[in-house]
Amino acid sequence: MLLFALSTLARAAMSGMPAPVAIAPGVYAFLGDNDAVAPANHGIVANNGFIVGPEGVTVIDTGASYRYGRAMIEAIRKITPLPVKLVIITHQAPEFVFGAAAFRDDGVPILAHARAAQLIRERCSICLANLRKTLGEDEMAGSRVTVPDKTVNGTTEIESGGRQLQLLHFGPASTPGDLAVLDTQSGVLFAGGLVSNGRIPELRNEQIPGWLAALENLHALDLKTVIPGFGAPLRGDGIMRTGDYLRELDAAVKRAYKNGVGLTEAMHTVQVPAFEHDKLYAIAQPQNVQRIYLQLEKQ
Amino acid sequence: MKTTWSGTRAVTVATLAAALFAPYAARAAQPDDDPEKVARWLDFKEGTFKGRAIDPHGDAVIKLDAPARAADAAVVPIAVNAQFPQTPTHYIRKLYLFIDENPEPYAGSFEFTPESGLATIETRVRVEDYTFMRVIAETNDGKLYSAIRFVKASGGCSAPADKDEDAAERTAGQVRIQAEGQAVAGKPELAQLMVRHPNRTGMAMNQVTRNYATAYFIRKVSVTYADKPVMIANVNFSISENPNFRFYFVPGGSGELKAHIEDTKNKQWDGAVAISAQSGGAQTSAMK
Repeated sequence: MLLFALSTLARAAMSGMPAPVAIAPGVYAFLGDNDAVAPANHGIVANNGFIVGPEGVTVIDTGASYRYGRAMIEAIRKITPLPVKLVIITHQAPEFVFGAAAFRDDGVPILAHARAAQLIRERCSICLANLRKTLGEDEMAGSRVTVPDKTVNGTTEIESGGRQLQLLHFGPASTPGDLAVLDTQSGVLFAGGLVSNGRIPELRNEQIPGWLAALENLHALDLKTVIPGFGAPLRGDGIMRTGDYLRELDAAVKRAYKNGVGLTEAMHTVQVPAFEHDKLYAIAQPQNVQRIYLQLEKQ
Repeated sequence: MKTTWSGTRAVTVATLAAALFAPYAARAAQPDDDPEKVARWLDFKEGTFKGRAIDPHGDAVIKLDAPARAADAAVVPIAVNAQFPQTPTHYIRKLYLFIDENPEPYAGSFEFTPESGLATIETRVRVEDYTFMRVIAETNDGKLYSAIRFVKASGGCSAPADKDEDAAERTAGQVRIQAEGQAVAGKPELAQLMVRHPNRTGMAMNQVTRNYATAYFIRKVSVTYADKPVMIANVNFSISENPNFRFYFVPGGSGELKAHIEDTKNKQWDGAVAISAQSGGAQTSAMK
């Protein structure tokens, strides 16, 4: 009996799993280490969280693996016995979607913007293969593409677990189907792919003008607490730094392109100095330059 | 064109490569592997260079610039930078590009002349997974030098949605050729050639139609200045969609830079730009 209990515990534990941080009454966040996905951090790089209402729990984003999703469920159990009523996926990105399978196994509905759901169906098998290569088969055991079974097409107010949530969509921004989740009662916003703190965003399916507009819209809400997709929680003013990066990056790449700088050279030389010490800069900066450069070429 | 290439189709199309590929296909290449022990490379080396020595430290001749990590395996920018100017007595005649883990590892060759000025070439390639990428330079005295990089390419997370392949084929062949900045007579001048073309591998399944479109790519690019060859590329579908090449030529007073392009359906296109070079002496930004 004792042995059984021990083995259950051993299987349940996920090394590196952060403890949930209480952000506001009933609002918790798991904060990832904000670095690149690597075996040392078990892929626990992004933020996610949950909101406990009088009738149940709403989960926002699910981490990079099935194992992480299970660890979230266990951590939630330690906070509340109430059932998980809904999972919201803020956007299609590998660090946010693959824990969803653990919740599906428990019969929890999974919601995303329709465009995010479509992209998960079409592309996440490729991202999953990439993660398996980076983190290994063991870490990714049980992970599978989990297509959301509930979708919204735009900004929608819902009631979940007895709490009012505003699912905010500002059009294509960091991805075609970004949602930010605002808990009406506490005023806490889960910003998903729209905001990164201390880590430059990886441009994947972005539309920079739409993204900047989305940040302006969020800024106008005058929020006290924002949980970014990556990095430490911040006040509403702090989200504009993500916009600063996008604007400066975009301008710098356009300048290089107009001056006839080749792509390879641009990837070496185009910098956004104010962000050089942000996490992921060495890896993502040249990739972001390439992405914008190739878009300019197509115009 | 969702992924670079994948699945069984890669094996059936590249049957020749597959036989060699199979023995170690299960294990991904690693940066600390010995690049001189890759079976497919050794086979190509023997077949192409027939026992001639290759100087593995070709840094004084060429440098290969490729990203250590590529976010989009379908478009990996690379540059082969020549380390000395082309002269009639000492020049790089040919560059061979080989990407070990690709279904067809030999991506092609680029030929140069003294009129090229500088045997530097920049383009974008498809890369399969984690692989060594190597360039062999052959100088006019017949010596061989190699430069090698390890590339980790992943991708697809942001792959563009499947395109209309018929439309891509209909618009194929728009050619743009241009010189960068003011040309100066007698100095190597940077040129850029862009060709709109799907450059299909024939190995990617269209996620909408669930069909494989046949391989269809540009196989030859010939560029001349004043009717003398400056860059000839014999390439295949390892070159990314909408092939893009940056290379050098040495302008005289005035002359035309012309490109002739042939694809695998024997369609041919031409592009040209008149170059009026300033007389020498002035500095040009193209020189690095």
